[in-house]
Amino acid sequence: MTTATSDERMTMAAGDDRPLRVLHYFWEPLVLGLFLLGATLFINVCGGTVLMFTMTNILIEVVMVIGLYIFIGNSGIIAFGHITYAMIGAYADAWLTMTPFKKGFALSLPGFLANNQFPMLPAAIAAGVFSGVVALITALPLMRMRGIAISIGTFAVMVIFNTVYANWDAWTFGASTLVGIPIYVNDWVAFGWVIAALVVATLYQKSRFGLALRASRDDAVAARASGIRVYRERVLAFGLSAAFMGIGGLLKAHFIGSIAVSAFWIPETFILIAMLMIGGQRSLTGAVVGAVAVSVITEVLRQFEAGLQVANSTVQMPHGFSELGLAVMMLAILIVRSSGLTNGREVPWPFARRTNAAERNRAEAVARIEASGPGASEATAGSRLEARDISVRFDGLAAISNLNLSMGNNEIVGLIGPNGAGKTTMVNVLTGFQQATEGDVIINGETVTRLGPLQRTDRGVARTFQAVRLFRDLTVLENLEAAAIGTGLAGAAARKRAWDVLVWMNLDHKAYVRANSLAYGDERRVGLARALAMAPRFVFLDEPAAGTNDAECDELMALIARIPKRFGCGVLLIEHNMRLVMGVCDRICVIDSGSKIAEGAAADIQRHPEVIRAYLGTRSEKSRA
Amino acid sequence: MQVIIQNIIDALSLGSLFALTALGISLVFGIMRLVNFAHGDFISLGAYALIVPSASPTAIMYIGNWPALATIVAICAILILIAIVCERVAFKPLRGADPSVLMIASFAVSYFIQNAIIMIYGGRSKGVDLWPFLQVQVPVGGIRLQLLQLVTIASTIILLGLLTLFLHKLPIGRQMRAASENFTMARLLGVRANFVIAAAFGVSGFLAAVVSLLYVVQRGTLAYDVGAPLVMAGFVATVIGGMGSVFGAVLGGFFVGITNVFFQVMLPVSIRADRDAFVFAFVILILLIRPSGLIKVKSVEERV
Amino acid sequence: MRRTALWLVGGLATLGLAGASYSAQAADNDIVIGFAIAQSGWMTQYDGPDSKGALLAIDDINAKGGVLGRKLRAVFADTKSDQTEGAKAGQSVLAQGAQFMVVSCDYDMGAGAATVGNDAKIPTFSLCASDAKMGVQGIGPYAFSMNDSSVTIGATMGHWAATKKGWKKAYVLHDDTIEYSKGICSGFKSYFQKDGGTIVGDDVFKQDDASIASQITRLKDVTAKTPVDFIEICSYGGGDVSAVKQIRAAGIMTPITNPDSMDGDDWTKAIPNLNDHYATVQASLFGDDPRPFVNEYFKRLEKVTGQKPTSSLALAGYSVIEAFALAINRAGVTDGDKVLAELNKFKDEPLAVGPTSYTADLHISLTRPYTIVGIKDGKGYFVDIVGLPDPPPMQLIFKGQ
Repeated sequence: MTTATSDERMTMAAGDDRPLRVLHYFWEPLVLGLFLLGATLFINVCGGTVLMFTMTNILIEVVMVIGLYIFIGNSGIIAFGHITYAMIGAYADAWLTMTPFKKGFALSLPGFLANNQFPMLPAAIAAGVFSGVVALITALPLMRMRGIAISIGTFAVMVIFNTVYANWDAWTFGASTLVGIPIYVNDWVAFGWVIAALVVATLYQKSRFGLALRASRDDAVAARASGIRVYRERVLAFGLSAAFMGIGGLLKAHFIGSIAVSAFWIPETFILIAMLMIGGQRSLTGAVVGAVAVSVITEVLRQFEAGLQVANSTVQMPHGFSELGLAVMMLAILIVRSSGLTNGREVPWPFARRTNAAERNRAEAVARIEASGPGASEATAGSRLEARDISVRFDGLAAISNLNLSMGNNEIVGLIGPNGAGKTTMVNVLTGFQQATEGDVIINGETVTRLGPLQRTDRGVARTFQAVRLFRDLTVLENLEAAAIGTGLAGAAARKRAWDVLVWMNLDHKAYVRANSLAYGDERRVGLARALAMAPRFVFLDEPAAGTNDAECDELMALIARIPKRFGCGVLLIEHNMRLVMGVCDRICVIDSGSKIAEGAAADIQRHPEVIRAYLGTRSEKSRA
Repeated sequence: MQVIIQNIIDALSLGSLFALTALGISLVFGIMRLVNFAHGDFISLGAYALIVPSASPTAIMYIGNWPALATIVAICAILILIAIVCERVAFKPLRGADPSVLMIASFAVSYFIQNAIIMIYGGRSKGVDLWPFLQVQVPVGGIRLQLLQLVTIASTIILLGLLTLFLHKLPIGRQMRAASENFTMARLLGVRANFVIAAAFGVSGFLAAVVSLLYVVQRGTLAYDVGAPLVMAGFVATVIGGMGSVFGAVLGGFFVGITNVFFQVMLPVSIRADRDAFVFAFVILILLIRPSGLIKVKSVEERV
Repeated sequence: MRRTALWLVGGLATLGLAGASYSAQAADNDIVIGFAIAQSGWMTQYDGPDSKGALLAIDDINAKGGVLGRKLRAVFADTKSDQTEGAKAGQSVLAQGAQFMVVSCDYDMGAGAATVGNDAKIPTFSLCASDAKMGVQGIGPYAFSMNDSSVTIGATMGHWAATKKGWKKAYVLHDDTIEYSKGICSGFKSYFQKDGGTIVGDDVFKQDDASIASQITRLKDVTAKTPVDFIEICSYGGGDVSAVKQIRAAGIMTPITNPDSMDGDDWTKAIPNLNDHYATVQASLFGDDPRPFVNEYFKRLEKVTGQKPTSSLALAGYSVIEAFALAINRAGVTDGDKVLAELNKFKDEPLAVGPTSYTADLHISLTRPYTIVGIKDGKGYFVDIVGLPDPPPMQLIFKGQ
């Protein structure tokens, strides 16, 4: 069926390559960790106490920026107030690790905290978890918002916590600096936590949760249409990310020995965001690179402020120079290269060949398809989709009036009509993106009218979009995986199904191509593949043939024709391309101005006077059909 | 009774300042989807423009000593210029970028301006006395009210009137409204993007100048972040009132002013300091229940 | 990606080389005093003049032969008005060989460096922090402050108002933004009431408040029913000046009292024809202080800094060095613990800033006299020097309100 027209980089190798796979999986933590290890060792050998202080500070900043990245990088939403979770973690840890004497002097804590002092590591973990939990709770309302409202909301949360903590004298010492925090963080402790952060961030972003969230980053609407629980993923990422902010905060506390509420405010949050943006917000490498780069440059600028010996003279810049420099750097990066120094890419994998797992998956998929044959389908139980008396009104204007539609999962139904007839609106109603003003949508006897897109996808409904809406930054394989994850599969199962669909659609050789570098025709095919990767009962195709020539259209026809048998999935085809519609549909529904004006087989429709009058129009169209 | 009237005037006066600030923020947001945090720093710059640039702890009035009208014209001109320059340098290259990116850029501008002020003028706050003739009491129907408060409220009403005329009667104003509703369409219809955006920033600079002058008269001290509380309040006002809606910004501004006074008057002393927390909690509530704010602006919502 | 990596490595290398310059100076006979203070940022306005004053003291002492026959030498590191940088500055001066440390004139800003000094077991003085936590119970046994506690400063005003001016009724307006102003008000209230005064009304505002119109309305309302002798405002910075301005602008001519944040008279430019204003400060900056050393000192400081001093706390900077010199001389060595022991024996030592005492449990002054200055027609003048008969209550000293 398919030959191994693979990527030159893929080679068939025998045997188990587990070590290579593990190396590939943890490549970023390894490389970044080694880089930072080298830097730390270098400073330990050549630098004095002050430089080691600077290095430790940089490592702590790296932990926080990685924390910030876990949310911002994967979700694409800028959290403006994230520093507040560093504050929460720092204080929580102070409550646990300060000596009862010091605590008693400054604070009025409840007995359990006031009288005990807990060991450093468990306390740090507990404080990190605490920050994460608080963040989770704040995320519950925040992630219900849309667009820039979330970012504004995170800012508001920061102000609230700041105000509360600054006045909560008994627990935080109010606006006063809390001293007497045991100092135990040196560069190696910080380094250890950097490794932990790197590993957790990697595990997260390569997990199905990370992938699902990154899909929503590229296109939240398409993500929801693919069954991804965008809200849930955002909340979880927010919590995980805040946990590491909390760790960063407590590391700072145990590094300096004191904390104050005022140290977790707007300038600090700005600097963290600057680090992430300058490094590149879309990759873990970007987070680390950004933190290090900004710290180093700021430090160099500060040297100039103190007066630096260059050749035989002293160059001294006025104080405040390094802050101005940071602001200019930030603007420059945003303007010149908003994807940051790393351009959103991770550390490149230098080895010529991919791991064998990919090739193995592909081969297995090929074998599966050859074994199952063209006539098999995943499930054969008959399903039925009905739309009864659907009406949709916007501000008095009726977009759809009393529309009835019914189909099984073994047929291909066409939905055609002039522009503005209500076709896409109908798809939106069927998939839950638009609420019907009247009428019902029934899937397999269950009335789903009031259910949202996520509940519809659970019941086997999938769609494509006129604008395709691929997850641009993900590879083709990841696009399909994300959709498979959206229907509840995980890890290997999701990947298996993705490969199956790719091979079936002859897209397997493009598996590792990033979606935004696809040719237009391939883009549309991947959009279709993504919908099929959800193993739906019903798939709604919104103008899949737009922009295709006759040959491509015929290919598409052949593909669509096989969907019901291969996937046990009914197809609702919205199209203007009559060649495709007449060639592949069992039945065609014609709507005009929101009402159905005809329904029947292709031949009948072509001769229907109403249809001709309303839609088919010119002679050249008629002759093509 | 006297106290209640005085409280109302206090609320209106404070609300006026916030409303004018919110207006400046909202105008720019409507056209560019930019939440300009640097607006507060425009206000600070307007205040510092009154004195001679020097790091000495004593402020030496320069422009502030000119005849009142000349001062007003000068400060307005300076801030209009600064606003337009900021737009050219920092925001124009980012046109069309995601609103979050624009917001970060405005943070960067704000950070730059604040630190530049510290560099030139020093970090110490300076005392100034601008237009002391406004610091008198006027008897109004048996109660003695502050002239400055009345002037603030009156200026706001007049400016709102002028702005409404500007937006509805003048061609440039109509273009701004069109661009605010649908930028692409407006450009296709011949509205020059650069001109309209520059005009929006210019107007916001003008509004910042008015706020700056009124605020300095009242506060009497300059600090590198003197505009910060105003921009926070203005920002809250814009969110509550409806981002992109001019009327909403004004409504939001008065709302924040009134709630501020309300909390100050009603809350018991022990938690009065927590005022800000309540205000921002309310912001979150609004963002949850009615994210488009009190006055909905259609163009801000996303289409599927 | 490769280019980025190269830049990063290059940057770190630069740092490494620059860092080499941080290592300890060649050992010489000087006694090194490390100044981990703010040389940039907003805190400079306080640390600048104070540290210049300390340098004057170093010059004076060196001119007289130094300490133990050795010269005093100052090394510096910039805290940049930031707490993390403060800790780094502390490390930096240590690396430059500091045997004693001087930190910022503020507990919060100085905490980072002071912790470093304390952990290194070297006597560390804050120039003029007014918080007792810059001491044994807070930072640690090696930390001192040359100032009075803010509670004492506030109490001094209350004491003077009640006993010297005979004022019986006060309205209090406090700014709860920072610990300093909270301490001032708690000290004021406690002592004023102890001396028989009554607090008629009490209100709160914030440094950042765009307007205190509501507070003024309440003030007018309360004082209409019960007239007060004066209004005490416990605040600082621009917010304090603005509060005074707004009160006068509202037509309220009642006397106003303030803590030492309202020192000097350069700020009176904000308020035309200011009268009936009093503040508790370290000394009079107006050339009319009854202590001749003080007037001389501020003239010298003006020459050295090029500007009229704006805070009399600069006097404390001089006394920090005086204290070090005394203690080192008495100890006979520069060993940290031995010098600490001598510092803890201070009893009414006649320093420039006033009679100063320390014990092993208390490293801040609780009863040292403070100066009252007044403003008349916008110009400042010396009024009185007032000391507290007893220290304020201990729980206020350490916990503020």
